[in-house]
Order: sequence, then structure tokens, then C-alpha cells
Amino acid sequence: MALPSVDQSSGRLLYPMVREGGKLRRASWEEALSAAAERMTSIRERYGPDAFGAFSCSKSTNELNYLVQKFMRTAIGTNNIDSCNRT
Amino acid sequence: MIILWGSNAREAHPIMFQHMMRAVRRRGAKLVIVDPRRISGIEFASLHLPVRVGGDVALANAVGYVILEEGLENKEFIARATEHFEDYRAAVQRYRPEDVEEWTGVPAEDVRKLARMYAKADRAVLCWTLGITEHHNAVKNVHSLINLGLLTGHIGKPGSGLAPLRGQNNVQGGGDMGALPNRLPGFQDLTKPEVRERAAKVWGTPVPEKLGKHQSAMFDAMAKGEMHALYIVGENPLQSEANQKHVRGLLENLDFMLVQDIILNPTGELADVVLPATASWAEADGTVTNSERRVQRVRPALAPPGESRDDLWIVEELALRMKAPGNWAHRSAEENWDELRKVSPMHGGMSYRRLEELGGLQWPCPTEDHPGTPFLHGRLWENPVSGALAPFVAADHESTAEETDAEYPFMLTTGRRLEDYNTGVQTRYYKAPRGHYERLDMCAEDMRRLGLQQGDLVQVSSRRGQVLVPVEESSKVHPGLVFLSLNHPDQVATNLLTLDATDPQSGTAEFKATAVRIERAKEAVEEGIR
Repeated sequence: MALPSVDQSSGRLLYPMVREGGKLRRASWEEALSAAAERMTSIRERYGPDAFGAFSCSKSTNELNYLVQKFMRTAIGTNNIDSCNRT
Repeated sequence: MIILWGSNAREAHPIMFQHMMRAVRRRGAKLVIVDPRRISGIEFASLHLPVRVGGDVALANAVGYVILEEGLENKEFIARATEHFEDYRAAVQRYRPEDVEEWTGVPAEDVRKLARMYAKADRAVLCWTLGITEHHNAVKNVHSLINLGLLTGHIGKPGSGLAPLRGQNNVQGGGDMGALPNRLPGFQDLTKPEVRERAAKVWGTPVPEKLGKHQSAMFDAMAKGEMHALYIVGENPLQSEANQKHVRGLLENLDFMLVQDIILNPTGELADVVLPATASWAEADGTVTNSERRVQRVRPALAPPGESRDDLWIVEELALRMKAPGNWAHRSAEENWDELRKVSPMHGGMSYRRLEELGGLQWPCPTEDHPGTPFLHGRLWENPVSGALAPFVAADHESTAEETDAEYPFMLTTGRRLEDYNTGVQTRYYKAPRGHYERLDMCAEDMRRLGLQQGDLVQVSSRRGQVLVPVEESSKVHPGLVFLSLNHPDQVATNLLTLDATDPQSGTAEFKATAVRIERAKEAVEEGIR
């Protein structure tokens, strides 16, 4: 079943972006994902896992929060993860 | 009886407030509001206690004092289900309402009224939100309220309980899923080897032992140059954190920031890579957990716009590209949920099929034949109680981190308005009958004293920054108290003013108490030029 899509005049992000020359520009998923993975891998090698932090989202699903904490704890190797649920 | 303590529910939890109003109007429930402001909905309250900003522990202790003085405590419950009662009794002896009016800001007679109403009520729910938790002594505030529930036995049974109202559709679930620096999924203690081992077995790779940093501590680590990269999913810390100028500098200094969001907010504008995600409430498959611990299914009703992609796919793709150790693969929401059920015993019995058939289940629900747990603290009514007794934790009054003085004579408290949600990222595009605009709420008496007219532009200054904002006469605030929301940070960056003094245990900043100076903008600008 094809789902209808929201007509987004509301500032929704419609494509990935990467920073180049100080500015964000449109990028393909391939470029954005490989840039993110490469930068995070090199920072992890240089400074170690505890140089990373993550803020997860209390508006999103349980499954996403589960995966983000699993990502930080296994792909990065740190417990530096938090969200706004401590209030 | 329903007590709203530090909760602007009619504006900030409007749906929940409708349920409360049904109880008040149709079933004769008494509503009591404890808040420094005469907040919206106060006309439905039997009693309003205008607690001084930062006076919550003193007020709760004074209520406890009266309950004990008049012998209204639930002696049977205290003896059977609690511990450390004598410490509490000793601690509240210093809080005779008549003696602590200066701390509480509440006439002693009204404190006594609330104490009698609460202790004598058949059923009483004590609800609180950020008015309690956004303080540098937040955990003490919470303990002082829990103590009242234990003193009266208004806990763990139908119609009675302690209820921190959750601010987002899945604040509860975020914590339950282990998006916390010291907890693994199921709110399990990370320091326990058996807990780490269970997760490690399912994930196929060890879990780091070292406790993580909470959000405020991460900013401290950035300031010390120890944190170099940040991954932000659906948050806007630049505008939601206290002491904004400081936060901007820290985010700009990072080596790398990855943002995954549905809208490019001002935090995203500082990112190095931005990934467009799905709106969880309309486009995602999965579950969320509400304030009463009920896990419910959500399903996609719309396709995500443009090139935006499913969030689970994004996280899995990042892990796979980073060659993460363990069992990473692309999985459906249900497959990920079933994995979580192996890591978190309290979710073990919650299959998607059961969640769908039963319209949700409340944790703990360890096995597929378990009905879920409607009353988390129901065991306190067992005789004898199984498991640990509920401890009283005595708390003492402390001043707010910043007090008013000659230079900064007004107390600023912050919050939300009905029309908007947090930093307005998701709500600024909607039409609102009263419009999206920020103003400084000030009482008529203070406006007269400062010679201000409705709509005059004023400069509000704290020790950290200043903002320009029109002033609006409001009957909600009393002399000496002013209010700003954080809903319109692009118009008025309220968090340039706020103080990042945080509770040592919860890590939450004192958004509710900032000492400020208020001047007519024109004079303030001329003063700056001279």
C-alpha cells in the first residue's frame, strides 16, 4: 500500500546535508552516511569512545531509543547517552 | 482529590487536564494547585497555595508537620510498609507552618487546610512536573513530596498515587529503553555485572562498564576538551539548555556533530552532517510508553516526505558502516522490540500481538501470561510487604541557587504557554488563535512602579545575558515575580538568562529561578552607549 505523504510547507527536512566550507549543503544518503561513519571512526581512533556523547529523543519510539543506546554502547563503546527524561 | 504541584497542566498537559476536569466537574473531586503563579485553571481549584519559587521542600515539610501534629498520618501503613519514619518526624519538627512562612510564601492557615484535606481524603493523587524538577535541589523536592504520599498512604491503590506527569509522548520509554548514562534497558543498574552480561549476550559484544555522563556533565566535558563528537536525535539543546551563550560555544567547538531530525532546528544548523528522519507519531512503526508505564503500538499513517528515511534503518546503517561489533543488521521494529524483550525482563511478556490485542500493557510484565502491573507500588498494601520497604527520605529547605538582590531584584521563572511546545520547532508553523509571540508577564503593580505601559519593550538582564521583550500585564504573577516561556527562542532567547546550576543527582538545571533586572529598553540601550 502506498501511503500518502504530508505536503510539507512546514520546514521538514527533505534530504541529507553535509557541511562544506562552513555551510550545510544538500548531499546524497551515500555521501552523508559515509561522511558520518568515517568521521566518527577516526575520532574514535584518535580520542577513544568516551569522547562521544549522544542525546536521544523522547518524542520518538521505544525501538529508536533502544537502538540509539545500543549504538553508543556497542558501535562507539561508551555509556555517554542521555535524553530529557531525567526531569 | 487532585493536587497539581509545580504543574501548569492546563497549558502544558491540556489533554491530561481534561481528564482531571472530568473528575472535578462530574465526580466532585477537589483540585488544589500549588504554584508560585496564579496559573490557568486556577478558577477550578478549591485552594491555591502560592509557594515561593524554591520553597517547595519547606512547604511539603510544613504540610507533613501539620499532619503529624494533628495525628492524621496513616499509622498502620507507615508501620507496615515504610522505613526511616522517625528520621522524617524529627526533620519536619522545624517546619511549623507559622514559623516558615517566609520560606514557603504561603499563609500558615492554608498550609493547614491542605494538610487536612490531603490526609483525610479517601483517594488523593499528587501530580508534579517541572516546577519540582527544574531546580538545583530537584531530587530533594521530589523526596519531600514522596514523603507526603508515604505519610498518608496515598500511594499504590486505585485513585491514589504519586504522579510525575511526563512531558513528551515517550519520556517514560526513553528512560525505560536505557537512553540513560547509568541504566541499561529495563531501567537496569549498569553497575551490576549480571545486567551487563545479559545485554552483552544478546548483543554479541561486551557492554562498557564505566558509567556515562548525563547531559549537563557532557557539556562540562566539552568545556574541558574531553568530548569531541555528539550525536543528536530529535533534540534542540542549543535552545533548550540553560545558559545558552555558553552552550553555543561548546557545540561550535566540537570536532563533529551528527544530527538526525525531522526539522532543521538551530542546533541542526551547527551540525556537520544532517540526516532527515521520520516523524514518530505519524510515520514510524513501533511502540511508545506513556506516563502510567503503558506500552502502546504506533503505526505509520503517512509516508515520510522527500528522501527522509526510517530512523531504525539510519542507526543500523551507521553501525554497519562503522563495522560495529555484535549482532547489527537491518531489522524491523518488531524484531528490534523482540530483542529488547530479551535484554529487559520487565518487558519480556509484551509481544506486539499482546500489545495490539490488549490495547497496551503496563510494565513490569515479565512473561506472556502476565497481565501487566496497573499499580507499581501496589505491593505496599500486601501484609506483610514483599520486597523492600518504602523509605522516607528527609529533606531540608535550601535557597535557590540565585537569590534576588539590589542589582537583580526580580525573580524570573520560566515555562511553557498553551500555543507552543518546548522550543517551538514543531509548533511555530501552526496557526494559533492568540498567535506565536513572547512577552514578559508582569503584574500591574510592578508595571506601575517601573512606569511601564502594556507592550513597552524592556530589557531583561541576568548575570549571564540579556533579552529584549515586550511587557504584558498579567494577573498570574505577583509583585517581584516575572515569567517568560522558552517557546519562542528565535524572538526571545530566554535561556540566555537562565542559570546552569544543576541538581547533583538528576543533572537538571534550575530553569525555574533566575534573578533578573528589568529596564525600559530605550534607557538600557542609552546606558550601554554611555
